[in-house]
Amino acid sequence: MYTQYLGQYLFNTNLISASQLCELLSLAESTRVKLGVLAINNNFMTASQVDEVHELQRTMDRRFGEIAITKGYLTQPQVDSLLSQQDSRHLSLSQAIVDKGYLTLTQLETALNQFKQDTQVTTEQLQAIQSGNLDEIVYLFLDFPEDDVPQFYYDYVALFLKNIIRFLGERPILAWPQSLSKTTDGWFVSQQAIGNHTVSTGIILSDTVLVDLASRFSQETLTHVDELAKDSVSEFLNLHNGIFLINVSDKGFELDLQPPTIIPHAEQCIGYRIPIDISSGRIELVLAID
Amino acid sequence: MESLTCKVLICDDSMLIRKKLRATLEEMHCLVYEAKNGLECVELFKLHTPNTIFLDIVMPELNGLETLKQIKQYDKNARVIMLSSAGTSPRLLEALKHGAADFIQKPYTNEQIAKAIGHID
Repeated sequence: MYTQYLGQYLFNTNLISASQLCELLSLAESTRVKLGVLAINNNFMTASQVDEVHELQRTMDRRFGEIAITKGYLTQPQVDSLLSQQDSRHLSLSQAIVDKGYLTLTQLETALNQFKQDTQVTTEQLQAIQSGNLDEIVYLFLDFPEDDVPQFYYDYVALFLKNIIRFLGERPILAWPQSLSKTTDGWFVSQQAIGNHTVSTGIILSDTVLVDLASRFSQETLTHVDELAKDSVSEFLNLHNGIFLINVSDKGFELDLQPPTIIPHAEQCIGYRIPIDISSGRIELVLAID
Repeated sequence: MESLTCKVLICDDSMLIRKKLRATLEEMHCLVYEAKNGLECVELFKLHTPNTIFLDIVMPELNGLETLKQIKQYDKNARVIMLSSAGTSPRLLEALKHGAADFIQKPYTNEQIAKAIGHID
């Protein structure tokens, strides 16, 4: 997820092109992260210090960590921490960017710092993101127009992202920078849950995204919007909502699901609209609680 | 051709679930009937007296719990397995109270279906 967020951020800020991003995401899967990139990301070293250690490595047969400790740039516990992170692939996009030469270490350092500043995450929060904690990601990145939005909303969105991964095999991106958009084009799949409160949920999606989502969920070969495709998307929402209701039922909220419906336009929908990108395009998740 | 060992009625408003479950059951050599809502389910039950019914809960027309009650009123020995995404504890208890034999949470596995129709222990 962090890889996707950072990638999207670099694309949005015009530091890399769309084609470069696609290439990098693919490359990132197989790229091992080097200590220098990790040290910059952890704010242990500056880019110029990393460059200096790399230069020294060319003239002496010593490891990056050993040289950095000798120079006083890193402590042994910091090196141990970096080594333990090295097996993680979360930062591999950064490494791929440097390896491909799209950004220098200095440019990457600036971009990472700007990313942290713009998203206002602390180093601890960034580590939570790097560990793939979707609940934390949603809490940090979901930008509702009002303050004091109930935790219920965050939990719902986090579970939706998890279910995209679980049932569609996709890596969703909670679109950022975020604007709660107002698209009226597209299919509107909706479902209510009724109890002490009425929870209105839905997803808005184009023909292309509907067919893609339906194909992934049903594991059928679907090529156009037909009854099976529409039903598959409705069943995905139904399954997600069923799981959410079980979760909230355990916390004392009892809600009864109503059958899902699908209509070919989204003018009528009410509630927050949360844009989520998957590989075939954008889904808008709709959520309102009365 | 192997003989059909069981008759199963699927009741689910989702075309996808009916299609997938039918394919799974037919591979297990079952004769399969389909209903897309509770009203159809009750009618088909009376007509075909299946060994097992897989019954969704969230449906239009007549929901799964009401359908369960009607089927049990007609035949208290009917074997009904609730198959739903909305398996909250109160729904589960209500279904069992009204005579459901079991409750399978979606997404189901083929093993759960095989167990439900008695093909494996």
